[in-house]
Amino acid sequence: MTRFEDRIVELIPTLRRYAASLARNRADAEDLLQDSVETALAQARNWRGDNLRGWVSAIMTNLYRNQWRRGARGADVMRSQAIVEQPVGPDGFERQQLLAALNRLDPDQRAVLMLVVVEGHSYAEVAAMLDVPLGTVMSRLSRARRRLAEDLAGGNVIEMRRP
Amino acid sequence: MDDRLNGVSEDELHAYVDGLLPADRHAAVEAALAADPDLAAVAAAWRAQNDAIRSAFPLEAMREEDRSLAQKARPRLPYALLAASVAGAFALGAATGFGFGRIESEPAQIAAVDRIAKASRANYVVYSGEVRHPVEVKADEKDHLVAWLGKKLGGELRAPDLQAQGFQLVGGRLVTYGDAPGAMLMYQDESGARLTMLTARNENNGQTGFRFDRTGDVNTFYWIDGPFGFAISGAVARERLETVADAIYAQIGG
Repeated sequence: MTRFEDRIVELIPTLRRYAASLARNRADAEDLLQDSVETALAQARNWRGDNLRGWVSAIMTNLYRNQWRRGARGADVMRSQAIVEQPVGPDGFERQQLLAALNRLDPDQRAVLMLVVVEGHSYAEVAAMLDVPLGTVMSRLSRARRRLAEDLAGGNVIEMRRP
Repeated sequence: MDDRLNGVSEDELHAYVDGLLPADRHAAVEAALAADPDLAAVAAAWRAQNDAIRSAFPLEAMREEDRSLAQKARPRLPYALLAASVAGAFALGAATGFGFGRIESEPAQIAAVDRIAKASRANYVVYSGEVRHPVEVKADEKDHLVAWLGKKLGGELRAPDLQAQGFQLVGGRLVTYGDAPGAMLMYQDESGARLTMLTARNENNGQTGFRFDRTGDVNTFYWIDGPFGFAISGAVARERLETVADAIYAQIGG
């Protein structure tokens, strides 16, 4: 059997990706990743032996939401007005627009969108991870998509139309 | 929008763009999209959104970041993992021996005394780089700090005075040491160089001489003295760290 720590280490690139998809900037993403890995290792006993990635992603989602709720992001919201280092990934104007729009999403909606789109979890898995009804997952997903579409459309000066 | 769904629920439209739609509903959803250009535009927009989000966070870039962090002098994450996995391995009941897999190729058997060196080095690497929160309790609450940490350890803790060696107390924090508490004190010199001192209860009472470990650019002196094990770690020259270790031993021993 692969040891728990080894399996966590193997998951780090995907965990880093999820952290980057949630966090406002690179430093926050790194903090979130580190806190999540530490928590997962400290709580190894509570893991029931199935879907380790989902379990750690749920831990990360909770840490992310708690940080947001505690208002610990206040300083970062200020900082986000200035130039901050974007999360790891390709550069480019469109990505920056997208990241800025993601940063304006409600954190619960953002988490659902990322768990589905980036992490590829099913709706039922997301509901179980977040401990919310399936209907809540669907409404957060719907709101996230509509909000994001409106936000990005508003940011484009020229709207392309086919004749 | 509901009235334009042509027998297809919005949930199904989400499932369609997310590739989560049951196979037996594909035909119905595609027929609805074919019949309703507005609905098809929504589905296309959501699908484009998905593609943009996925390509904004490519896994390969994350792997690249891991590799690049691993090559830096003070990789935060693997060492955080190392620190936590010291606790994790004990929590899992691994009484002896835990390799760190791809992090390190250390032999699996780690002697009790070497455990504290490893834990101390990990603490140093994790916390000395912290700008925002290097310590839980700052030095201006020194009495509270040593009383609190001492209580956690079940013994009297003293914060050695290292001013003669050029180091001021920054503060301290409670850390894990195996499945027990450990006390970490942090010191800093005028140049900003930091040292971390780990004190933890040692299960096999006894005494060892000073031992020295150098891993990467982190030097550690460590020893066991009665019920406690001690370690002092930092990225400072061995000779300087040895004078610090001597001072700690002299102040705490006896």
